Amino acid sequence: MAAPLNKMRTEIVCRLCGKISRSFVHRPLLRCQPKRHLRKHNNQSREKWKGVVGLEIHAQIATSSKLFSGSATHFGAPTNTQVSFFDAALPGTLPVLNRGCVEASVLTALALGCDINRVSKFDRKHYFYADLPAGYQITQQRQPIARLGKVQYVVYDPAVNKYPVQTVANLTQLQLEQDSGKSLHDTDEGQSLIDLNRAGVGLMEIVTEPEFTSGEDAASFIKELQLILQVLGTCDGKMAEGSLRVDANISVHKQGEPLGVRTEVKNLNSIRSVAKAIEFEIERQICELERGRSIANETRSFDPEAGETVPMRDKEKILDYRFMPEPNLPPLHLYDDKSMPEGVKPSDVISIDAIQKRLPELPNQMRERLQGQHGLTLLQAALIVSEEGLVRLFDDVICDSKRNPQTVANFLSNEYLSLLNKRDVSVIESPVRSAVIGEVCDMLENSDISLKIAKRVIEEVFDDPSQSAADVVRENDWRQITDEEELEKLCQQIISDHPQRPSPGNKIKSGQPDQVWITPCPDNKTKFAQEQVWTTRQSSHKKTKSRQKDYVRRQHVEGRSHVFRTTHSSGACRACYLDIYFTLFPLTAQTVSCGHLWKEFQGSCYFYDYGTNTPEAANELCKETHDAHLVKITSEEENTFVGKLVSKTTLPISWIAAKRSESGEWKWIDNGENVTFKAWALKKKSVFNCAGIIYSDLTGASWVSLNCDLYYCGFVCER
Amino acid sequence: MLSLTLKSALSQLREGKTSAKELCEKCIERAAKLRELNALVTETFQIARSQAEHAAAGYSVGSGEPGPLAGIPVAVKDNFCTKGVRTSCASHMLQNYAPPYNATMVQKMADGGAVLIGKTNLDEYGMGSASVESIYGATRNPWKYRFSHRNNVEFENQVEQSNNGPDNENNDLYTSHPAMRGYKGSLSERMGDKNYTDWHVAGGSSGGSAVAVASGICFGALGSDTGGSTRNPASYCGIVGLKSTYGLLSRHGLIPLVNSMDVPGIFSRSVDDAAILLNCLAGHDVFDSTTVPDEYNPIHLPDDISVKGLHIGIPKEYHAPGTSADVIDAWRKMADMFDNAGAKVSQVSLPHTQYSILCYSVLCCCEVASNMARYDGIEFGLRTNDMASTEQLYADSRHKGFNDVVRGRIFAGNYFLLRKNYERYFLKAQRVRRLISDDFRTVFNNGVDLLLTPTTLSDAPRHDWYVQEDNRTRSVQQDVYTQPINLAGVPAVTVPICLSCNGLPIGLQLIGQHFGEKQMLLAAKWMEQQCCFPSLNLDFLDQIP
Repeated sequence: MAAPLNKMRTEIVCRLCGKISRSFVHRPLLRCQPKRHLRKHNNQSREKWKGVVGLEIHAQIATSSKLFSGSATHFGAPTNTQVSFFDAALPGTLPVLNRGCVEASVLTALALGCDINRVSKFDRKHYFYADLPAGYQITQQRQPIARLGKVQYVVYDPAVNKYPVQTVANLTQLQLEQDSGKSLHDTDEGQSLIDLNRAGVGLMEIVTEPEFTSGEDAASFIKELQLILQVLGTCDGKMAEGSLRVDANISVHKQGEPLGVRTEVKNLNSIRSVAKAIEFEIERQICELERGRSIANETRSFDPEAGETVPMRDKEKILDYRFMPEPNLPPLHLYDDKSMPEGVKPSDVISIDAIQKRLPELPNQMRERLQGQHGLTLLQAALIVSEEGLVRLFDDVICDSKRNPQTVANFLSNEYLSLLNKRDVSVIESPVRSAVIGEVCDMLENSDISLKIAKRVIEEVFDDPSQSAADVVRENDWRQITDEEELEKLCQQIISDHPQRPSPGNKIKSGQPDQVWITPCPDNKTKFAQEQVWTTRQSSHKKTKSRQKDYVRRQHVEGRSHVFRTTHSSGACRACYLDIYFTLFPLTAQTVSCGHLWKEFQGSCYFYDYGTNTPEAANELCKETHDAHLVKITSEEENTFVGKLVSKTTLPISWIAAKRSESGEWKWIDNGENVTFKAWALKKKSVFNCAGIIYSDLTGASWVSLNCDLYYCGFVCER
Repeated sequence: MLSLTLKSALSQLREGKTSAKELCEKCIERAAKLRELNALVTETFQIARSQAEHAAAGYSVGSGEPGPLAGIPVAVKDNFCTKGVRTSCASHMLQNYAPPYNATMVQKMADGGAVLIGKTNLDEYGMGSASVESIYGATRNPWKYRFSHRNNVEFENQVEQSNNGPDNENNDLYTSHPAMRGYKGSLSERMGDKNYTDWHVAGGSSGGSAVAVASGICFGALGSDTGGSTRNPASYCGIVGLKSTYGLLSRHGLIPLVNSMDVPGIFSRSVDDAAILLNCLAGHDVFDSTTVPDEYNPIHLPDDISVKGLHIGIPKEYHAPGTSADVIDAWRKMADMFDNAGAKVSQVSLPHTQYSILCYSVLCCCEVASNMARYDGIEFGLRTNDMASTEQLYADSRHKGFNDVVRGRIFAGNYFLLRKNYERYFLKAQRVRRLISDDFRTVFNNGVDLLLTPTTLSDAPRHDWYVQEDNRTRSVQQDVYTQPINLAGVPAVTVPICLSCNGLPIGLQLIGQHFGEKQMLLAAKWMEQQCCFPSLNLDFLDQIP
């Protein structure tokens, strides 16, 4: 049944563009580039070398229409539906500059501390590519809209420095340019398919000086830039959707020596990729140089799965872009209040001063204010600022109250954010109002509730935003008991009610909901809880284990305050305090942790993985890497859940484990059982034998039948 | 009737002396009779008839003011986009291309009520000066043309048949247009006179439009003018050719040759007609950022014009070698006429004119190389079957789609634009362009109102003589008087003055100041009044069945 491996290993060259399709490079092949040699290098040799990194960032301007045409710019619109005659480069069409894009770039340039050029010009950059219909891109090579800028950002890399460090990045220039279309290579058919929806979308290209020293450094800058763009609203900053793309120029040299040969790593599409790709590339270059080899001036791409950079197969020939001034666009003039020509209508010109007035509070200013006005540490301030919308929430909670900013900041940046992450919503999308958070913080401050209860209160309100925090606490009788006698009584009661006392190290099996284990500390005098029993189901996932340890550690810390709390779903015991120390482990279905990056749904765990070309290969990968299987969808709810999971990914279709047998019945590939629930997108009989799930906001999650080894799809593992 | 001016045709329509439909049918009939001139490459008679009907309704009682061009048959050069009508630039590359939109100029004409008779012939993408470099074959000058009538009926039938199936997919690329077969040597055969070769070129690149207006196929036409492409054929065909100031007329939908010099051109039989057309077409266009946003004031030319006090400059550099005695003579006489009428006539200097052609060659090739980059066969236009790789597909499509002249200019342009050459060629040429432009500014700032120059070296050359030299050589000769004007962006108009000793028209060019169209056209009309040029009248053709 499985697709022949040799086919997957064959590198097939696209007949149209000469590119080698990634879909035919089996991932283990990419991984086979040995990492071992990198590890051999101890820190000593690493220290002699210095990494030098410069960034080029392409930020899509969040205007509703394109840079030079009136077409819309929605992400994910149906193919080739946002293409004007100009975007398709029909002869005779002319560019008309979008005022909104100019204003957005001026606003951005001001926020980045750039000098705005009063006159900027557009150039044509020529190269042939099928998704560049005009044969040239309109950009600003010679006279960009802004030059020289400074951005303050915070680097927090606990591996290097215990405290966050504030630093400054210098920008070279900011220029306006057009985005290109997208090419999809169908290698089997030998076709390239072109989608011009993106062609002509306005981009701000931001070029930095080569001053970053490490991956973490560069990534922190990108994070700051993303925040600035989001605060300004000039770019949504969604790296996964390609709204913000990063290319990094990387070289290494020894202190005091001239700069080394650089490589360019293209299209980094997450902040983590920026950090990892640069780190890998610096290590790789050091390794090559240490071995006496030289670095080729080449373009590389980053494989986030393998965490490695690889040379781009279509080795970029040295192109002469034959730049030429764009003759159809007059020079772009910007004015300030002094230089504004008389008698012009404000709608005919763009005033820098007017745009300056629209500058909101920038992340850097926010951090300074949080530190200065509220006494937060730089780390606290950075954490609050780093999440879009959190500063406003913080301000709302603090506003006109005597609440302790530290409590609020900690609660927001730890408990509240982790809850939102779990629910996969952003701060802005969250239904929890600032008043509720204020209430919770007050109760925390008064020790009316514990931190853990506080989180549960917010969870309850999240699910039903009409309640107030006080309601939730009252209804559930969650108020913390602080009377020591009362507590002691309660705990004694629990111990006598629960005679089972597992000895230290005992494992508790999962799957027994509502079971409470109580273990007194061996040493009654000890005020620190010892790790007595910790259990969950055995997981092969490393990340899960480290999570658990964190959790235990946090309990130790709480133990220091003499109060160790845990809850039981039935609400029987809410808090225990004593010289006798208890740990309680309610094992309910809710506490089954799926682990990092896994999503839980109705008792199963789901994980999205990126791309294979057959469902069998996907199933294998699930088995090998995750001890799971390719997702089997058995209900409408599960279908919707999986659909939403795949909707947030880059590949439009994901394999599911259904496959048509020779008898024509759809069966699950691992056990051959019949598929009972089906959600086909099309009514008519499907022609292909494999199935994938696709999600759209309009139609929801639906299945499509696919040729079993033609497509490169994502997949979801389930366990 | 077809030798009337546009202005008098309009007043006849207004007075009800003729109807839009009648005018339209007459023009269609004339166009059909004159197919041998190869002025129209796409006939849009059906569109014309429906537009004429619409215009006729506009003249009926109680339907308000008819449009400024209501019922006037016009033709449009085949490098202006016409919605749903093939717009080929006389190139294989776009032979299958019907744009989905109208050029602003075409739309404004249609909105003004004009009736589109057809798309006119040109040199491929406008690269030429005689309308001989067309895939549809050369356009012939109607002056002194020996019309063949013997097989006229048969010829017409053949053409009608071919026209019935222009979209026939089985048509070979090279034979899908009847005139194309003519290009391969059979046209004159069909016309029954193998030896007829001594006809004259129409001038170019907008030769088709000039011939259409001169021979009565239409009353006005659109051309484009990048280095003289409107004025040159207008002069050879004995009509008025107006190149307005860069930025006055929209280029949106005009398939570009050199964006920074292209200007839509106006062909008409009189200066008044040119003004009427200009009034209909001029003004800001949101689709073209290089049009000026200022409001356009329509130009009305009185009949009683005085040139007293007008300062006419005669540029001393405009005595190019090879200028015929007839042209010099006409030029001198016209200068004397101005002088006698009380204008101040003085010699002026435009010292950088001599570098103009070289400068133009570089800038033109660079923009051509860039503009032609979009013709890769992916989104539109010719796509050949060589699918070995995308690059191969591009190369093959572009090789088969463009003629030698276009390919040569692309090649040169890409060379000039290479990083290592940019400074040496492109930047240098741009600086020279600035000097040439400053020459005009200086002269005008020193009190000169208008410049008077020849339009062409001579009257229309014979086709067999013309094709003895290559395109590049001929362009250098033909554009010498017209092309500096495009570098400077100023307006110019050519007016037919007299006939040469060969009996062919000679035109003279007036060059105006930026946006000084009114003053320029006033003087042009005055010249026209003095000359009483004997316009071509082919009404005798109406007598032939």
